[in-house]
Amino acid sequence: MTTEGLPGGGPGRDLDALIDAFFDGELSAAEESALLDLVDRDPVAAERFARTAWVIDEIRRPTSAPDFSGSVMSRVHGRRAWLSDGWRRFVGVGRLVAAACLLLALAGGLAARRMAPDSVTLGTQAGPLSQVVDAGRVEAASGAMTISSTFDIVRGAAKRGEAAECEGESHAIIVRSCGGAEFSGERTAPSTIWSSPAEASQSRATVIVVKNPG
Amino acid sequence: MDRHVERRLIEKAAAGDRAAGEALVRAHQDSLYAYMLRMSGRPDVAEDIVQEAFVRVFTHLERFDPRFRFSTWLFTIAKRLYVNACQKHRPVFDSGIVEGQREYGDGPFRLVADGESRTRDRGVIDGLLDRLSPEQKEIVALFHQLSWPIARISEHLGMPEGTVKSHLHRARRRMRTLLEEDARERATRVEAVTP
Repeated sequence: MTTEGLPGGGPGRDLDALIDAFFDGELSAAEESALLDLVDRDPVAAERFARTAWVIDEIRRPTSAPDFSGSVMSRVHGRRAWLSDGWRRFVGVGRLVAAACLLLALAGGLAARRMAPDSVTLGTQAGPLSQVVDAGRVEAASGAMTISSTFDIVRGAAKRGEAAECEGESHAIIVRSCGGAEFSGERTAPSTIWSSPAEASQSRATVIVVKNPG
Repeated sequence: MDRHVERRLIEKAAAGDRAAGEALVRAHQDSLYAYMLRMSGRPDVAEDIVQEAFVRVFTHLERFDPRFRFSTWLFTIAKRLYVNACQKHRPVFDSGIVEGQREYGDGPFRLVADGESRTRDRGVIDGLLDRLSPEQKEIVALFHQLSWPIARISEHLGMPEGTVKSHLHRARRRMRTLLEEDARERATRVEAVTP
């Protein structure tokens, strides 16, 4: 069936195309009214129009879906942790704190490097990675031995209940007052606090001065 | 759902907000289920695919590109899951819909004319859609059922807009023809029976 004579019709446009254009909302107001006039007059056009409308209505009829939100969230929970508002705030603040700590550590490292450039020396010449690893192991072993011997001295002095002599540069000072309050600190020269264990004893305190094992 | 509201919900869900995740599921579950039910013809298959699609989306929520629509991403994942499921096990219509198809064999237009139940009408429509090509079926569902514009369907299917329109027109014409053929067949049968 042709639609010659209709505003939107013509020899190249059949009734089906016109009906499709109507349901796609592509017809002008004049074309729409002309098509609806044709549908009123022509039973064939009316039947085709009605079939198309029925098919589209049936397809558009809403389907009732079950609620998937609970089951989906439970399944996702196994793979991704859902947090309450309080925990999410805590995690947010925690992230900021972690970032701030990282920045502080970096800043501290840079400051230490500037203040004591010799403390951290990096190799200037290229070498095998195994050498770097071996050097690191040796340094780590040496550090561990130093710490171990320091603690041995401290433990021994504390056991005897007497102050160790201070000669030369000390590594650590531990002061235990009779009142129970404790102070610990590090000095290069203990005399800046007490000139001797005897003087310290006058202040009713126990002073353990640990010599630098190095 | 407004895209700004949706983006906010996505951000909150990505940060671990369960309530935001549930709101996203509720906003999209009806349309996705309708699409999958139309494609598969089986409620159990549609339910499985919808759930799995949501689970995958939420598991990889940080990969979501906000330049695109959330629903396009969700529907693409669901369709991929459906295609994979079809390759493994070809879906079979369930008994209710199969009943509808049998009725279609005897004449869907009779069902329309006689005002049969909606379930049977649905069966007729499923039968008609099942006789379209997969592309035509999907385009009809997206355009008429979910009211997606042609441009969005074109983007979703990776097909030029002209091709989408052409598939849509051919699909509607085919469905009209099938209904007409059935009406003629029924009329012939009634004439043969009438004394």
